[in-house]
Amino acid sequence: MTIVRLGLTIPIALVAATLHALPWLSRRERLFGVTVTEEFLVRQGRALIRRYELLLLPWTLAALALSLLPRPMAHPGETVGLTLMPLAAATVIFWRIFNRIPRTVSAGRVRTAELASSDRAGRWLALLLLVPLASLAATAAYLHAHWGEIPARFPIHWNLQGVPNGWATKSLMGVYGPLMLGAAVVLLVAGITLLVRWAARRSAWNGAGMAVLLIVTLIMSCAFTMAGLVPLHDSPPSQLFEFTGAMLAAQVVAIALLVWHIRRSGTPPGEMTPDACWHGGMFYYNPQDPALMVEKRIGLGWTFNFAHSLAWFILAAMLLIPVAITILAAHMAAK
Amino acid sequence: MRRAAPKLRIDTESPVAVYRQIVDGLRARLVEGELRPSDALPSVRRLAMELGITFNTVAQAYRELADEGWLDLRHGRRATVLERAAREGAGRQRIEGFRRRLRELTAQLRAEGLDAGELARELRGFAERLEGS
Repeated sequence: MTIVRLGLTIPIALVAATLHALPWLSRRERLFGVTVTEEFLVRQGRALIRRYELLLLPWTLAALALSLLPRPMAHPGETVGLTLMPLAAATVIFWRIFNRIPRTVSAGRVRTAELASSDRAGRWLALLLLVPLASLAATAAYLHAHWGEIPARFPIHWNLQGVPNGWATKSLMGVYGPLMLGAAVVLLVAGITLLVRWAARRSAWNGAGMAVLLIVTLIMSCAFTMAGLVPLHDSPPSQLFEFTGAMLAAQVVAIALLVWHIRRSGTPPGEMTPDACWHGGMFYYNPQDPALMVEKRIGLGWTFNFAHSLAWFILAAMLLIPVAITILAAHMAAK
Repeated sequence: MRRAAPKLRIDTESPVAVYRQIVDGLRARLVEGELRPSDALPSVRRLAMELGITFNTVAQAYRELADEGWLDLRHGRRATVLERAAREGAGRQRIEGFRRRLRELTAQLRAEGLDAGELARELRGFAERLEGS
């Protein structure tokens, strides 16, 4: 019962923590996605952040309290509903504060670019992204070489007491399925990494973001490699739990380092996304800017310049690929 | 050891057109040897993206430098710096043109508040570097 309730509370707590951290997940001189002066930040900015936190707090506390209410079984819709509640509140509060911040700082007028044609960092990145794929391919080769040792039926899922409660058969999908799924996920993340390298301006921040994506890809391939070896080694769940914990910790450390780097570095010279082109602080639309992707104003990562039709096309493809992966996973689970 | 890539700087609010700033900036690096023959320049797309300007502006600047004999813009290849033979000695007309541009630039900078003495010091330093090159 407690486990079921925690399964509902933990995601809500994570969403709540992210929403409360949102004003801090941007560069020093950005407040709710708007470029402000240091003076404004000190005089009014801190008060606006406090206001956001205080207005959001009742909603996040209410969602957490509701998730902890005693009841026989949590309905799957509850998680969605209780997650959406603080999210909707945060959106409204954010929007109201965003509209109250005066736009006084214009985009940088001085811009610089390196006159180098080769992208050595990009080439290294592409090479390093082959490592996770090579690790999955090597695991597949290992399974193939030890095919005779795989039992006709083997456990693939365990409950919290360590008792197997899910099984797979010795078939192509049963044995290689996790590796195929891993390859699809790794290819997706690697594709996004290379897309950003190609479509966004290069900066120190861009490099740090790439490093985080690379770390995430490597960690994911390790997880899928471990899962792929289950048919042969019958991994005890405790090791998987430990590994999952270590994996999440590594990702949190990588992201924390990125946030630290962003807040420390400030806006690079030549930042050229005018405030007027940011709608709601989140959607960038600037036909004059040839960059297909730009650094987000709020949160981590990149967003599209929606003035380019290619952005819409890639976005649609990126939404369809996870759907295809989900269908593949469902197909595997059914087997 | 690898050479550090030279940087191009533009000012989008300068009265000088962005395309002209690119031409002048690249030419200065070509003349001063920061960009050498067979060096490849960034693609039009990449340079436009890094500077946040339109592709046409960069393409126009590259074409002008190609017309001057500095760049090779063969289709399907990156813009590459060419070995460019020195042109014949500058004629009287070119020197006049140089004087006029220098006068205009000086007037513009003084209008923007730059001290005449400071400008003169800069010009002297520039002339010394030029003679030493």
